[in-house]
Order: sequence, then C-alpha cells, then structure tokens
Amino acid sequence: MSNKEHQAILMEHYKSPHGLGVINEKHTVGKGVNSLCGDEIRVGVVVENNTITDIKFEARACSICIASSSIMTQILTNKKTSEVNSFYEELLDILKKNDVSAESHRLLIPLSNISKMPSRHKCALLSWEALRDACKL
Amino acid sequence: MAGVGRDVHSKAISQFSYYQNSGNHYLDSAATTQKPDSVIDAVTQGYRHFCAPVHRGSYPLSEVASSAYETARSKVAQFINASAQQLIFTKSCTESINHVALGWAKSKIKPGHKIWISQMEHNANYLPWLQLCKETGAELKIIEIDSEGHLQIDQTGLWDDSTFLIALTHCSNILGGETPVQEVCDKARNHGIYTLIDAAQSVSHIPIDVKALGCDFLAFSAHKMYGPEGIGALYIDAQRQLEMSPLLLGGGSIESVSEQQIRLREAPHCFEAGSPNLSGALGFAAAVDFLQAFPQGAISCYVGNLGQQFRQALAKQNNITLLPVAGGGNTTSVVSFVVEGVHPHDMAQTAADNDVSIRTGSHCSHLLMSYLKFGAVNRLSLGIYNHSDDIQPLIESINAAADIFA
Repeated sequence: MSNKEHQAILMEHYKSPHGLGVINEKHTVGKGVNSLCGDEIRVGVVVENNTITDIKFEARACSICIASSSIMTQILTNKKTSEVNSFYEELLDILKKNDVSAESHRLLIPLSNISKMPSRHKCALLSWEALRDACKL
Repeated sequence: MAGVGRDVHSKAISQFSYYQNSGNHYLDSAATTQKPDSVIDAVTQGYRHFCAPVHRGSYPLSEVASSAYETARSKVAQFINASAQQLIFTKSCTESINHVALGWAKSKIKPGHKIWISQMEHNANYLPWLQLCKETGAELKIIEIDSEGHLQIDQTGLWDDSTFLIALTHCSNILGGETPVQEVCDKARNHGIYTLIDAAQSVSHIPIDVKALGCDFLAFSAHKMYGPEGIGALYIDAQRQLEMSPLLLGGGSIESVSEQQIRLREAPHCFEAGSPNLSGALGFAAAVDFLQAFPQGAISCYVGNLGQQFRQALAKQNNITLLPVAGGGNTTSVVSFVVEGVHPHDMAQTAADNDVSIRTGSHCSHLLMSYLKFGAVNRLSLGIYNHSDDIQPLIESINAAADIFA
C-alpha cells in the first residue's frame, strides 16, 4: 500500500472517527496534553474482567491525533488490558523506526506515514498515552 | 516608502547564503532569524583566530580574545545606548529575565508587593515571576488587553503603592505590534515602580534607547536579531546593578577569595561566572553591525509594512480569523491566525509541504492562549529577507489545507 493510500485511510479516520463520543460516569478517564500545540484529549475506558469493553475519546486535536485515536479504539476494544502495551510499543516502533513488517497490525500501518515527521509523533501517541493512563499501565 | 523597502530587502537578501540555494519561504523569524554571512564569519573567525580563554590568560592570544570580547560587549551596549558596564552577557533572554528575578528581585520583594506582567507575555517573562511570587508571598497581577490588542495601562491597581515591578514585553511573540513601553516606563518612574522590558521580539527591528526609555532592566537575545544562538544580554540600570547579586558564582567573577570570604569583581564581570562565550559575543556584535548598516528605522518600516500586506491578504480570505496586533493598528512583524476547520498543526504541516515555514502551537504564551480561548494558533513572523513574494505561497497553502481538512 502506498503512502498516498495510507494518507487516504488516515483522512477517513479523521473525517469519520471511531470512538469519538461522550465520556460518561461508567468510563475511567485518562488525559493527554501536548504542551507544544495545546492539544488536549480525554480517553474513557470501560474495563470488565480485565477486558476493555468500550473506549470513547473527546479531543481538541489535529488530524493525526484524531486518526490515531480512532485506530486505537478499533484495535483495543474487546482486548485485554494486558495487551495494550504491546500494541503501544508496536506503534512506537512504527513511528520511531518506521518498523513495518508482515506481522504489523494492519490498522497501525497507515501511521507509518508519520514516521518521517518526528514533530508529529507526539500527536499520534497522545491518545495512546491517555489510554494507558486510564488503564494505570 | 516602497522604494526604501525595496532597498532594505535587496541590500539584505544577498547577505544570506541560505537564500542562495533555498526556495523555502521562511516565516518563523520570531522563533529565530536566519544568519547573514557576516555573523557566520564572525563566529568562525573567532574560533580560527582568537581561540583562547577570555580574561584568564597572560599571553598575547588570550589578550586578543579578551579585547575582542569586550569590544563586542561595547558594541552591543552601544546598540541600545547603554554603557558597556551596564550590559552583561547571558545565554539567552530567558536567562536574563531569570537573573533579574533571582539575583535582584528575590532579595528586595516583600509579601504584599505586586508584580505586574501583561496578558501577552512569553512564558520566559511569566514563569520566573509566578515562581518568585509563590516563594515570597508577593502577588502576580496581569495587565489585560482589549479585543483590539490595546494594553489596559489604566487598569485598577496597576499604579498602586504596592506595585513593585512591571515586567512587560515590547513586542508580543504572538500579536506582534508594539506595546507602550515609553509611557509605562515614564509613569512607573514617577510612581517609584521598577520596570523590566522584554525586548526579545523588538530589538531586531525597533530602535531601542535605554536612556530615553528609562527602564531598570532590558533583556534580549542575539538569535532573534540575526545573531548566533546561545547568547543573550541584560541591560541593568547602574543603581539596580549595585543591588544585584550574581546568579552564578565561579571562575572569572571574583576579585579575591579565601576560605571564608569572596570578593566579587566589578560589574559586569561579577555577573558572568564561567568561561565567557567569545564566539557568541563576536557573532552578537556582527549582528549589531549588520543591523546598523541600514538607516535608522528602515528595517522597522520594511517589516512592519510587509506584515501589514500579509494581514491584508489574509483578511481577504473568508475562512480566516486574524488575531489583533498588540497596540492596535496593522503594522507588525508578526501575524497570527486560525483557519476555520483546519487545526493549526495540520495547517503548518500543509504549509511545510509547500515550502512555507510557519509555526503552530501555543508559542510558549499560555496566558494569552487561555485569554483568547485558543489551544493553538498559526503564526507567521517576518525578517528582513522576507518579501511580498512570500504571501501567495502562504495563501495557496491555506487554500490547500482548507481543501484537505475543512
């Protein structure tokens, strides 16, 4: 898949994000702030029997942050909290090392477009860090 | 006036090697300016020909280095109409302001005193005062601005007896323009209030005369006025200098030392412990030479009018919110804006893809961002090398970003 196709997928997530919605009292909330640009995100998770059954996020953030958040909610809904860190580290490798392989999660691969923009890595990671905060990881 | 402007630009542009081979439209001079060849040469010449310890060696090469360093100090001091003794070199404008907060204000301020800063201060002229007030029981107060960018200098309480210090930016790093520093300093002096002026954003294009201004302190840095990174300056009024303690102690700052006693050298040396930044000072002085080669006021006129042209072009777009200019009016070296439906980070990225370098973010000005209720804005800021030819690529970038994101 080309960079252009990855970009189109990211834009689709940005225009119609999964998981963007209202956080309520059932959610445990984590927060992320990008002090560079003032972006703020709240990620709410519902965890039952160590499984994430729902993720919602509320954000004042850029397209990359919104797209990454959308991808995150798709990947991690119905996953065990113990699996969060391995996906997070996979994203880190994609961003920092442009490390994409046949084993990479297909939904994360479009974010490899961001690897060549170090100043935007924080944008892609913000919601993931907020979710880890919510899950106390 | 247009003729003067063309002269300024054509005289300047050939002195920047960066522009010989770059098609980039660099619109981020409020963060740091490009460097003319004369500054780059001064820094490298320093390492090639004067590389020796300043004020430490008794051999000829060290004498040459010391002399060059002090000549540079005199030049930078003269640039703002100060004496060499009144100007200390620091590593940055931020360090200069911290030096005043910790080396002077901390020992003089009392609980109940008030320090006033404006709503548009950079964090460098906000956080040191916030911290000092927390530590001493003093109170930090904010001079507000109105929706047109006018500083509310008749605000209740500002001129009360409890006001100890007014620390004010001369030119906002987000709103540009110019604040009424002369009026504030005049009034402050009549009320027995001390003043610090943050000139980081103004010194590159607005002539400054500290004697006429009558401020107690004035802070600025080299890298925003076409000089090198890593060196700043602090002007200190002679009386305030007597009340000031060094921020750092160490080599070069003492006259004599015994096991129990330190005798400091005279100013400015007592405030510059550690090996001086010779190459930085040489580059700083070269930047002063570069600026002084233009007629007085010509740079201010050129970048101010260019800023006005950018504002007019942006105002024609129906999808842009323009932030006001500090002090009102339209002439400014800095223009900040938000494109409807386009996050500033996405706007800056789209511009970068089109070889236009603008900034995004809160610009280290969280007080102003909070007041304006923006998490982030886009900012373009101009240098002497910019031209009206830079406007259209920016407008095209805005249109491209709106097509993609809005």
